[in-house]
Amino acid sequence: MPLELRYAGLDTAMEQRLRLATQALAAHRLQARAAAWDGTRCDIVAADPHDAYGRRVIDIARRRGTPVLEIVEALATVARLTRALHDLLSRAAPPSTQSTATAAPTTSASSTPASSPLLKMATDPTLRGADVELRRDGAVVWLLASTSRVVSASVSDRLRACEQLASNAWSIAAIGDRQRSRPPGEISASLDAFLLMGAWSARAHLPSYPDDDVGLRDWPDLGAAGTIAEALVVVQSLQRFRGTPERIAHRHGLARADVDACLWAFQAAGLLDRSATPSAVPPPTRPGGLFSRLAAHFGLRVA
Amino acid sequence: MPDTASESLVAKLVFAGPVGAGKTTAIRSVTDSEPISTEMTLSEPAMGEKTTTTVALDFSAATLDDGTPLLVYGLPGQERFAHMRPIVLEGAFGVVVVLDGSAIDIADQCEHWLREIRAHRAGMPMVIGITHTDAVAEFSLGPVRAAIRRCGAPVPTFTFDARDREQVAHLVRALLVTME
Repeated sequence: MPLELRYAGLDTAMEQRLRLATQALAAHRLQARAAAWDGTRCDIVAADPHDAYGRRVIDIARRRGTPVLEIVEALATVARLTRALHDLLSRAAPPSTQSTATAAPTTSASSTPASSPLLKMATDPTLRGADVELRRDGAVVWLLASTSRVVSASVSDRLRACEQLASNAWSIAAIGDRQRSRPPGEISASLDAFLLMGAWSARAHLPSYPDDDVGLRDWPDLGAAGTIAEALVVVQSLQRFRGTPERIAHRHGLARADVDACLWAFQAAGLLDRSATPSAVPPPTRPGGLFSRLAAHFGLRVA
Repeated sequence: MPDTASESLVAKLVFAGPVGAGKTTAIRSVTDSEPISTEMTLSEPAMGEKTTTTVALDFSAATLDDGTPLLVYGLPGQERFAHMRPIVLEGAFGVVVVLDGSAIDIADQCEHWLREIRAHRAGMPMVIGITHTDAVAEFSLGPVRAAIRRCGAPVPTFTFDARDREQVAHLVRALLVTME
């Protein structure tokens, strides 16, 4: 797999020289390709520190742990650029290691490992409801149960962590007090939706949720999980009745695996409550036949 | 509540919340036509890029599959138009409360609007949508959840992008689920 180089803040002539230098890395048996910085993860960044955009990209790359080549006057020739790129790549992780890591499967196993971030957050008492950090290849994603937010340096980091939430690809650890002042970035999103989408995509491989009676006090923040309407039904059921996964699935005509995925996600978010009592408030009056027409219009399947 | 006959002829949904939260944008996202708004230039300093605000109300509509009109109203956020609220809320099947996630007093705003709407009709189905959370790195849902608990019954509460039709529709789905 070729190494991905991204550049930023360079003039056209320097871009061309950098592209030539990237191709010249073949002399060192390194396959690489260069493209303009687009915010996604890459193997090396080349940017002009005297350019405002270049400085911004250098800052982001360093926070992600991506090797950075600062393009200064001393690197004005293709030969010097090639040598600098080669030296930088030699100091970084060997390419073979990098390509193996990025090619790791997500959830191809037949069952989800207990050490996956999703199940560890749900079952490890020291991590349940705690603020934790996921790490992989220099990418860092914070899952903050205290604020119900997930924070990362880029959207691509967050999406990758979400896709691999039920695999062993990411390490997980509680965030220490000293770290809190240095978040990995400024991109934040709903933690509850993140956990639900991660669990949902792996639901065929998740273990069954224990047959315990569970309830929910607060609604999970699922605004960004609009493709999973089943979760709304599970939440509403848990708010109104305590129930086991099997009873919830039966009551609403849902697949057991769908209910299990929701419950693992809500437990990992620290929202499930075994002592919660159902809401005493009766459901509001449903506006007759209008309800089903509204449900159809807004894409809600009515059991 | 409207009687059964009138329910079958028309559906009415209301968006409520403070000034600048994104009610008009959310209405635009979920209806078929540009909202008819009574927009006026802000008399107070501009809020970010916002230079106008809704006075009296917003109105737009969508058509359900069988031709039933869905009328969507936006309540004015200013307290001086509070007298309009019972009029606009009359006959609504539910309310989407839109709050500004970058507001320091979001928990107070949440409590205010929940109590305001329940004072008009105790069992009114509601959902809360919180906008602009991407603008506040330290945004926390905790204070909003605490405010909801103080007000009694649980209310679905989602962060969302008012410009995203799918996310606004998901709020309405949550509202409908609470009515099942």
